Amino acid sequence: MRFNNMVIGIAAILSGAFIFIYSQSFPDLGDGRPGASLFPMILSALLVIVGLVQIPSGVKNAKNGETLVTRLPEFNLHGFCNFLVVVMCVLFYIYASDFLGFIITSFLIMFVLTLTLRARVAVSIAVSLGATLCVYLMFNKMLMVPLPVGLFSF
Amino acid sequence: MLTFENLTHAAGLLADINVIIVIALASLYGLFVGAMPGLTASMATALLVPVTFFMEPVPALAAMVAMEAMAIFAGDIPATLIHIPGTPSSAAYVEDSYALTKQGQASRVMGVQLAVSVIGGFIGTIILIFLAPVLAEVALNFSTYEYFWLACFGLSCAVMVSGGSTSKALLSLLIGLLLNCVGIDVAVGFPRFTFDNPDLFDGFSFIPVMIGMFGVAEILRNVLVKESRIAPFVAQTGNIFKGVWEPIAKNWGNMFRSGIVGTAVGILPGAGADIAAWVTYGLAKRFSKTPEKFGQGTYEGIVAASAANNAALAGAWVPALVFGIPGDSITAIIIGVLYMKNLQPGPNIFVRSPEIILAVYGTFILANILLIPFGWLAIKLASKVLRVPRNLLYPVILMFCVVGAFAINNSVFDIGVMLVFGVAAYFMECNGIPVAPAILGLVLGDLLERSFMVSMMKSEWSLVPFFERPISAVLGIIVILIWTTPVIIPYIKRKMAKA
Amino acid sequence: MKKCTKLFAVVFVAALVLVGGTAYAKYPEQPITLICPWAAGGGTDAVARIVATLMQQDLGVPVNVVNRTGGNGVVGHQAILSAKPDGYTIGLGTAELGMLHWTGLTKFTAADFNPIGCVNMDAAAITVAADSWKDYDALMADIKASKGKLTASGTAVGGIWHLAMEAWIVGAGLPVDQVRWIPTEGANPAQQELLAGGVNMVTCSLPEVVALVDAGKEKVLAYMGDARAPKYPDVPTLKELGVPVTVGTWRGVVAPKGIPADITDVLVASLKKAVDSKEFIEFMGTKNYGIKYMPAKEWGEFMIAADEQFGSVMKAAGLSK
Repeated sequence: MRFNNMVIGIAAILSGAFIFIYSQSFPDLGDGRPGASLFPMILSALLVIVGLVQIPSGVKNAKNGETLVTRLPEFNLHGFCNFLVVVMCVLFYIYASDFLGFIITSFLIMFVLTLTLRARVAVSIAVSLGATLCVYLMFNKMLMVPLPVGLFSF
Repeated sequence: MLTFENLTHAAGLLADINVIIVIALASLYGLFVGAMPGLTASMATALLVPVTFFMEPVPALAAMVAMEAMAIFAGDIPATLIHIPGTPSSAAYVEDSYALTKQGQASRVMGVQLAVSVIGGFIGTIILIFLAPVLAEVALNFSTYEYFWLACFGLSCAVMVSGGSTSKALLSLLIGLLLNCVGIDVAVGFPRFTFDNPDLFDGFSFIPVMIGMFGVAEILRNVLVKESRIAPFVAQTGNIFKGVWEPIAKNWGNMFRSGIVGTAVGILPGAGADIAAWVTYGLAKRFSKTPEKFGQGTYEGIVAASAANNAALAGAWVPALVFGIPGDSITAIIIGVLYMKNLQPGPNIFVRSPEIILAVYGTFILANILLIPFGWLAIKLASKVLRVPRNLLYPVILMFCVVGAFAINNSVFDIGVMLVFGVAAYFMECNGIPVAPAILGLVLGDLLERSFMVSMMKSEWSLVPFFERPISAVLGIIVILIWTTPVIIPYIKRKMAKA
Repeated sequence: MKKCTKLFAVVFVAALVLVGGTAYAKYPEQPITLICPWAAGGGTDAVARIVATLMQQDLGVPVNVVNRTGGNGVVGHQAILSAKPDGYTIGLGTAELGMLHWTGLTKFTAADFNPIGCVNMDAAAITVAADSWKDYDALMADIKASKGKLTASGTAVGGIWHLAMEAWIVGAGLPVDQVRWIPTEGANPAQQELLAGGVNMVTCSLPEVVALVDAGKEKVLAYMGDARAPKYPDVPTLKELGVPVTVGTWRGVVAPKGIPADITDVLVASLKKAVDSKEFIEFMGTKNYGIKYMPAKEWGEFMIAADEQFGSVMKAAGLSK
């Protein structure tokens, strides 16, 4: 997705303004000398300025017929589904790994992902299991990373 | 620091069998990643961190050095064979190498690329070895005033060299700097923008952010587009090193100039191997007697850029080791690793752990020697590597991303950080906002704010010391010139034209 | 296809072997997790790893060090406290556990931890550049003569070495703002500032300055320990110099509140063995870390006392909420 520069500029101005106001609440060094808020204030002020700079080119592009949001040429529904599945898989890991344990979660994610990317089922199962065990052996056994254990204690 | 004792100590550290195995494995990994289009050297480094995290400092750094040298060369292989650069650093001369491939010279092209990569790597290494200790001696007298200007210099470079719209680069930089404000602040110790979440007290962990921006973003970009059929291979059976000498001998001066320029670009903060390749390719074209042949298949551009991108790698280590300011995105990650190993980069590292520095030099030399047999092997195996199905590879990489992001702090929160930054980096790139300035902002933001606030606290809010100390004044003037010349020069030109 | 089935079978069997059965009996039966609130590669991490290795030899189950870093130690210490009190999650607590709540970052205090035993204590040292003050009296004379002109560093605002400096200045009968604190990321950047002339003195722990003192670039003027440091027997302690202040960082094994007494006893005995071992003494010697063993009860009382000392200094220095 490609946004018109006006959208980018306005987003920058709004977030800059929010950060500027929010950082007013930070404590100072005493004697009226700025402290924690100095940098966020300078940076957010600059962000507003950079946002303003984006607007003219955005207006120009809009006049030349660019819509506020443009689809990229390589965009297609299948690819977009892949994108969503990748994001959902990571979210699934974040929320489920503590219950299911690393091995089950990782296997499920790999299985779903390889299938989504159109691998054959048998290949998909083999690769998912193999890669899961590789990662498990390498990180948990060799490198001693405490991967989530889960309710089934593995 | 070059005492006999230190040298033998460093040699002993490198001669360890474990270190050798680590270097060999890291080299193979680097070759694989470099040769796979869509997997970059920066991403490979970010994914290597969780593994090196558990090693001693010497093997950890050796793995990084060997990996990056191999990956940057290996990027040339698919560029030559299938017209897709394996890493962005090989993009500058992909037209030339593929044109020569179509003329049936694929083996020879890769042979030349391998040879000049090794020579370029050595040029960079030699400059690193001689320049770094000298700069460190100077930098020992650096206080926060000098570091403030150095941070400004690095950030300015990042904006200026990023290419594309300067205002978008500045936007990216500001995003990085603002993200860096999250966490306990340096001046008063107040938790900013943490919303009472202790996971944010130290700000965003750098490595999960990197894994997200390089790894996850890359995966997202690749799964979005339909898998295009890989271009058919041009059969290549010839002897790789046959006929290599002639193009190199013809371009002797070109190669050395490119090696030196490449190293210099590497030393500049924010500009790495990819920019070094573009710059030297352009220079070679300007100096060439036959500039019209560039892009049609000439060895001049290939020799120049291929030497430069490997030379830039070592160059990038100079500011990273001496000032803690990364020369490129790979060393940005490596600085994080140095901190984790309690080896704060900076001039003191040359006093405190000379054996580590010597081991880094040693690995650079070793990696460039190893590049010859390993590179040869990679060229021979290239057709196999390039046939690894993507739909199986990306899920595996995603799993490594997830586990890697988790392993640094053993925190699930970091996996979320990785995901958010991955998606954000993807959208930034779609909209012409370069990612590199944001990363540099994230790396240098802390130094920028800390050195400024600490300077002000030391001087009791007087700006005078920033220009009072000689080195500080010079650095300050350079930074001011960087920002004013693009405005002033056109103005002067206009005046001159009128007069 | 046949190849795939074969691969599948091999992988499946390997999976079964890996996760294969565990039976439960007497503590300890499972691997123990030792949480380290500071990053891998640092001093606390090194101590955590040697303690873990030695306890593992004694207990016969793996003792894994897990680094939970972030927020000046908040994240790791909080993780120790929130773990299940079953003896399978313990941690290496550092002096910060008694300091963090005074700044309002956390709620927990030293009294919330179940002490197992202290293993290490390193006192602060007053370090200056080699070509500056010749001794402590000369430094003190300058400090007294110039209010708020001299600067010190060693860690962030409100860190342990900041407290050491304030405790020293207040102990010497001077106002808290007599010497200004310049925040840095830690002992190494602070020493870079010291050598570059950015600050006048550094008040971090002794092992942190050894490298540059031995290189002839810095010298130690006073030591904040109970007795002189064996490494530098010529350096006087603050007590000898008439300032009754001792400040240092300490590290020791802690567990979440509420673990059963018999499990505590097993851990206390195992830790005692580890600290008395030859390997531990050798390791601490090479790193110049001071060994200080205190059994559970004594150390618990020490931590609570230290917590109060930190609180009073931080209140005096205006660092407390």
